[in-house]
Amino acid sequence: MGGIKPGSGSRRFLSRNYKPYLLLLPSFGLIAVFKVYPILYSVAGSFLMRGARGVIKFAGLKNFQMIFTDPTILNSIWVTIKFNLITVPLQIVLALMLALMLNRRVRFVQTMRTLLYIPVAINMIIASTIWNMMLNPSSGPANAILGALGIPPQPFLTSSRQALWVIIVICCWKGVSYWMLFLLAGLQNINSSIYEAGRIDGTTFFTELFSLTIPMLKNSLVFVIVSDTMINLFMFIPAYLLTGGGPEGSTDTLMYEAYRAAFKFSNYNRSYAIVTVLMLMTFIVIGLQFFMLRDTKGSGLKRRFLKRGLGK
Amino acid sequence: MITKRGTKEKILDLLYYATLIFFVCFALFPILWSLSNSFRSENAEIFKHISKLSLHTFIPEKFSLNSYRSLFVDNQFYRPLLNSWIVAVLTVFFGFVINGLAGFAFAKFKFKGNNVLFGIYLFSFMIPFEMIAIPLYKTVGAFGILETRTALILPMIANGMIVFLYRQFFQDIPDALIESAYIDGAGLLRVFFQLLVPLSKPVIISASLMIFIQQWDAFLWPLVAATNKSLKVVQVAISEFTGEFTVQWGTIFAATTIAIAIPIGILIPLQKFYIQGISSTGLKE
Repeated sequence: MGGIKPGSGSRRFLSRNYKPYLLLLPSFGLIAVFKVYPILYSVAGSFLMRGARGVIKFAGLKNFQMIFTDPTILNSIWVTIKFNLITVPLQIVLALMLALMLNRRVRFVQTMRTLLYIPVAINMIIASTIWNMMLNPSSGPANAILGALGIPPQPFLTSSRQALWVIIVICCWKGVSYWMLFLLAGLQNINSSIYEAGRIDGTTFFTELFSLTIPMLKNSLVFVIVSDTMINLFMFIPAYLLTGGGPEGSTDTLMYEAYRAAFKFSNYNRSYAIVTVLMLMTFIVIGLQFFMLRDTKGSGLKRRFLKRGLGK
Repeated sequence: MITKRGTKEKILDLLYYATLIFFVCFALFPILWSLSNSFRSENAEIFKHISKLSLHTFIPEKFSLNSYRSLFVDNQFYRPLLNSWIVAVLTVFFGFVINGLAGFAFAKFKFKGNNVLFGIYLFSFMIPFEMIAIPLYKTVGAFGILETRTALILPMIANGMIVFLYRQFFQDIPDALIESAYIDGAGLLRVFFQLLVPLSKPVIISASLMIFIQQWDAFLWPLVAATNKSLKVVQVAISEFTGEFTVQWGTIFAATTIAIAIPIGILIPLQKFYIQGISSTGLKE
């Protein structure tokens, strides 16, 4: 952690009063009221429902029962899972590939980096808006370019078979450079002398990648994978802005259903139940990811590299 | 690497640059396309060149600011622009003070419950905003501040990630420096503002950029919490163009160009700080 290590007396001196709590009070108050409380509120709300004469009463699992027997929601759960199973791995693999490519010291690499950072500054609304126009079936340039290549015009967002894929492309376009930023920072933190030992041993690119680079990059990778999953599980903007969940429910993500339940039909308890289901899905997925990415104390190869690389 | 380069290396190099250039083009094409279209003289010109690919599909025939005039004069885009700025700048300011003080407490004090509290802060930054948006609507509604700027600012001020950033930075500032000032009789607030703040410019810039971008990009929350026309922010205004003016593409291009230019104009010169900020939240622990 660099800097000067605190003397043993110092912290005790500063700790002997209530002042740290005062410093924390404003932020803690805001976090408690605007972050923690709403989560508890929506979990609690998912067990309540509006009965006769608008009286709120305990509903047990009724909201969930309703959700899990509703074909619209079952479809949304499937759409959300499908969207995530494709988008997250695709984004991570592309981001890692670009990060590895940009981690070399060759000509123009700095310029490429800056150019590839640009989509980071663009949000989902703008990305969706621009892509929506580019992919307009009759007047967008995408079909014009395809036409020039001799490919017949595509329906894109107006087809239930293509719409989700189009949204996946938009999300990758916007997301890959963001995650690349983290992975590139992680790669640059790896001591390059570790690789030199491997070069002498004559390892191939893939051995180096899987037994050295990826294990060394673990912290950044876990962070990127977990954050990326959370964002994509709650994906909402493309469905809201571009497709309204259609065509034929093909892009109807759970978060969009939660939004509709609350703000179109004023059925808040249904909406809380959907969000609670999403929360559960999040915890399950992230639990699984942590389990699969848990530290297996590094492979033998990694340790050998570490010893040789750093021992010099 | 002074060995003679073989054909294999040359091909690999070519492949390397070709792949990178492909990704750069893919990343930049939509932005440049929308930028170039925003300077066309009329909507008809946008559609005229689509069906047959030519140079003018990508570059306007005649450079014109018509779309921007229509955006500001007919659509009063300066209002959402101003709203977004007010909301973002106020959040940045209050976020700096409030998260900075919390970072100070976590970095330099040992107190009961400090791990649990820090855990809550970290947890709060891991959850995506969408998860809380709908119950937050009810919570903020209970305070009676929906449809005000306060509703857009207040819930976004405290930010676990920013607290984390400040804590990381303040930890590296020697305790002795703080103690001596403290013993000299300076209050904690004075220690924070007169001692820590001047030493912490890089982290303040990183944190402020992150809050600014977060507020500039905010959509779901302003969409539901501030439906009043006078409070509309840029992203909500743009999302409405997409529905309303299906043929007024020129206006949309002009609006997206401005909405992109502002964060890029701020981020490019300060990219070092922004990258430092977001990458240090991804690297540590």
